[in-house]
Amino acid sequence: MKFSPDKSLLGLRSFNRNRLETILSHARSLKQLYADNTHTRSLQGKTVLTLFFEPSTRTRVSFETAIKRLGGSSVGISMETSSVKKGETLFDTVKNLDAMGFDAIVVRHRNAGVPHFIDRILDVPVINAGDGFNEHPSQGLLDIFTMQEQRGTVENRNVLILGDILHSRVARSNIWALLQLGAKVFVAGPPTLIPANIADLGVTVVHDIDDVIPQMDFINVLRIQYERQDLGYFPTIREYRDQFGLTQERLKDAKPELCILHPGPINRGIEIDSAVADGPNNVILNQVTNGVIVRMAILDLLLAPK
Amino acid sequence: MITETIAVINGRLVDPVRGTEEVTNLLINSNGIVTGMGYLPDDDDDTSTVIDVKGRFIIPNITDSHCSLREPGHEDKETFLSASDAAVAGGITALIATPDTHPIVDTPEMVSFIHARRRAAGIVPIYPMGALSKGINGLELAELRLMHEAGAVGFTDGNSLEHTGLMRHALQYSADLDRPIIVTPDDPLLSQNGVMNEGYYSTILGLRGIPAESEELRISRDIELVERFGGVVHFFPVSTAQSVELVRRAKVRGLAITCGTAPHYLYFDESAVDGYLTHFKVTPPLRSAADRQALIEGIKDGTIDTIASHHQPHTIDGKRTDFVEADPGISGIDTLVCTTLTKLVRDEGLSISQVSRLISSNPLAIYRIKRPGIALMKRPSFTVIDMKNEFTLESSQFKSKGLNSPFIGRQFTGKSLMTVIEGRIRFIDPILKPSSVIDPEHTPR
Repeated sequence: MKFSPDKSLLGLRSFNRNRLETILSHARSLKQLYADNTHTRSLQGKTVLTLFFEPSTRTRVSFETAIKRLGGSSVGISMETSSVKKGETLFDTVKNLDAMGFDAIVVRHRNAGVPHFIDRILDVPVINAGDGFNEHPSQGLLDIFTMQEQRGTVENRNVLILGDILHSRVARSNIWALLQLGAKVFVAGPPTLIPANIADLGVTVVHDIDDVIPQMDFINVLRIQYERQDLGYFPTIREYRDQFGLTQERLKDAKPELCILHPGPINRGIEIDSAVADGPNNVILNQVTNGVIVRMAILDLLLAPK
Repeated sequence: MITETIAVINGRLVDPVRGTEEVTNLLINSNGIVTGMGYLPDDDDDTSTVIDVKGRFIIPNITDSHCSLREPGHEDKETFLSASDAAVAGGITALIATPDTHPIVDTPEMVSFIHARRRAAGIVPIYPMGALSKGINGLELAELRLMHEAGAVGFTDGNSLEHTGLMRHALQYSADLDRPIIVTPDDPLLSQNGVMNEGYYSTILGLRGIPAESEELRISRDIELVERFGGVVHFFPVSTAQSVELVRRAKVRGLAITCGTAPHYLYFDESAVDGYLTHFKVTPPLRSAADRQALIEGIKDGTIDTIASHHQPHTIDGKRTDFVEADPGISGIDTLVCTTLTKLVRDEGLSISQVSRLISSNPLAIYRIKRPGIALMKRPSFTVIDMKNEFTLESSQFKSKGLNSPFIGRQFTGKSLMTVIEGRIRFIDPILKPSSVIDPEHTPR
């Protein structure tokens, strides 16, 4: 039941509806099995390398938990302990690690295209855990898994992705998969953080979020990084929050069943207020729980003996 | 090496300046001097070698006018010798070298060093450009006049000067030297850390974009400076439609502005970056399909004056990494001639003389380099080119140390079969079998 002839999971851009549904339905059955306390040990005897060139807490722990729950073992290295700083090329780093004989590599890197490069030079499956602002496919899948779990389907639902779209791999993975699954996707953020030609992907660019919030079924709130204001993308956090911060006040006309997602880590009081992040519409911790399940599904489909 | 008198017969001699072609014969004596044109030697002439190039074109003085030769400083990437081998095998008879070596060519001593080094190696002529500012620091003018006297053919810091005031002074100061300032237009504060063209593809690939405006604004600025303060500017390479339009209008205004581009901008657009293959990482970046088409239009109407390889050879490590980290640039000396002729003559239907101008007479005119044409009593430099057969470009054919080329594996025509420099055969393809027998049936008298 491999989801493609591809050996790796690099991004969702190339995924059609069928391939997306294969993973999502596999995740649903794994979640049910897990609820029934039935465990699959499909990664028994396999070792997965989690190679994080960029700091991460939840994604790395989520992957490592998924690997362990499937009976596999993981070895993790992060940039701080790597030999990258010693001047070794990425090619050599990856080739040396590969020579130790891992069954798959989960990789995060600040540059878009690094997983693609590793995929080209290695024979083992490569799972993209976030490359620059290109894609974060497991996050996209867990977001949609959570949306489907909450509302049955994303088809014809309205999804607003809010914040720094330009620098967001979460936004791109969400957009590709949501569009394939028939959702209506809206993006909003300061004009400087809306990437060129984004409308050509099939999304609607929103300038005033107060106009559209009442129609939304889901709002995926992206993290705003402080350093963006230093680079002149917007003047101050205060001004950002005034226009795009998700406050209780802004949600007064929202649908009662609106779900609010956030990939974390949250900047409370900046892109989202605590009252909203902890409020009745939030599914943020469901995302985290589902993250492990969705990553189990990905690993199982890519690595389990068939 | 053939040192006796040779007769190159039945070639279609292209005159890029006059735009003509004629079938003729060339007699070149043992001193490399043309002693006869158009007629066949009598039986009692001392011709000892006859090379029949029937159906092939002879183009004089093909020059690659923008090469980073890496020597001195990065001999692991290229040397004068390897670049020269690539040039002659690729049909190029002279190279114009950028000053971005280590040390930088920013003094008359360095200019003289390159001339001496080239003469000692006995290789293809190399014409150095000098740096515009000391150490390419963008703050103080280098010794332009002394470098000019030592033989620098133009001045460049590579990217356009950040400091508008210094650019003004450079133009004023160099105006009476009558040598071009070569500008690769880019505003680093606009292009930031971009690695590809800004647009749909940068958005879907999650790569930082370089807007077309970062090139066009600098072209606009420097055109205005030339109009106000004089001087001569050659923009290389231009990559966008608006850049071509700006130069077109500057030429209408009669300004001393020229521009050139490189073959890869005529073949590929930004969509080539999809897949993150590092051979497609170049600066300026591959632009949109419409920009690519505008460059071809600019060549057709004469706005674009030159095509040069923008040769930037790298070791394997420079490209064997991810797209963001990879070194930008293409190794292009080996492929300048065949890629240019294939695209513009075979695909776009331009005449071979019009295309020849872009790689021979125009760069020589822009850099004020005087080289003899194919004429009696001169030592000629020319290339014999086959436009009939197609070949697949293999990396094993490269003589450059840099194998960073997106053209490898593609089909081309316009193969160079013989390269003659200053009357000496420097390269000859085995397909041209020199013989001592002339068949009068196939020879015009």
